[in-house]
Amino acid sequence: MVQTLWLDARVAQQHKSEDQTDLELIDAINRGDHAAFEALYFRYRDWVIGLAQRFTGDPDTALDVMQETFLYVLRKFPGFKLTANLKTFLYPAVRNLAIASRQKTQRAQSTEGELFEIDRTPAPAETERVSLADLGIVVGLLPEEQRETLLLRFVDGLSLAEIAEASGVPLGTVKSRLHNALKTLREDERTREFFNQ
Amino acid sequence: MTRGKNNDPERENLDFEAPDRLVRGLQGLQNKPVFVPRTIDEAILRSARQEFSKATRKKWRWPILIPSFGLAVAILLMIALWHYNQGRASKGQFAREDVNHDGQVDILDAFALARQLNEKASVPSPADLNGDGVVDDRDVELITAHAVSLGGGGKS
Repeated sequence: MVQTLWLDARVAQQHKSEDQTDLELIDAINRGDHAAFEALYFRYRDWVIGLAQRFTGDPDTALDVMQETFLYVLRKFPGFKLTANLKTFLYPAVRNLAIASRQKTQRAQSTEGELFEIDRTPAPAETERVSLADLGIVVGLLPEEQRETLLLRFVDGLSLAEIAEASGVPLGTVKSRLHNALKTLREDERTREFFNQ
Repeated sequence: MTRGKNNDPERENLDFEAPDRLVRGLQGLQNKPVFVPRTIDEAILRSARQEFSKATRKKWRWPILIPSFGLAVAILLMIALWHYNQGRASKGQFAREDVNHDGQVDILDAFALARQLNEKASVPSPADLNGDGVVDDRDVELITAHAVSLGGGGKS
């Protein structure tokens, strides 16, 4: 059973670099500033672990992937050049490490709807109210590339260009995947209501 | 939601946008945050500190090594040059008539040899210019004649 963790005040105080941009933190880390690395770590730790869990479906494996990801990042310094959103750099690293980890543990998760811890009991047919469970089911049934594009765009907040760079595919491919994912959700009777404002 | 033409800019935007309700729904689907034990944070940050201290040690090494190497090379060159000059002098690379080893054969060399003879100091055998086995006034005269014939001194 996973538990919610909140940073305590003591930890928050240690990160005096919270106001610095990613670029400023990267520059400081390149100069050997350990406190800057610590700030960057806590800034992205939860996102990385959430993304890892999305790929692995398992909290313990996600923790391992998170550790490996930051050790991978650490080895890029000094000399690391940030040319875009840091998430576009982290995303492929997390994905590749998660896939490798998943294969290693031979706990391949189904890509159909098992990545979300929600109640999957279908809503009663007579209700027109769309439940989160229905959304989870339909999203889970999307092809993996479409689902990832959808989540990167609307959950992780990446732009289409950033998604293209992170995924290593052309921008047109990203647009096509996103378009098809939204089209599926729009046309599915279980999720159509989400498009009614 | 209305459909537009394929080249309709509004439709193009709609194709990639999602209603707020859908976005909230998608965000609500995310897994609950994973608990990260403090030991894991500390292990990662400890690795970072070790990497940074390694990089710092390498960083200060070069500014000291390069000037030190340069200095060592300069000292070695100076020593080699001094030895070369010493060796050149001791091998008698000066003309026999150049008694004072100033690179010139002139009347000063005659004076120098005469002075050495008067002081009865030991005179090196290269000063025996006439080859009679003795260094004496006759050798001084030879140097004088040589100096005069060179027109007031020539190079050794």
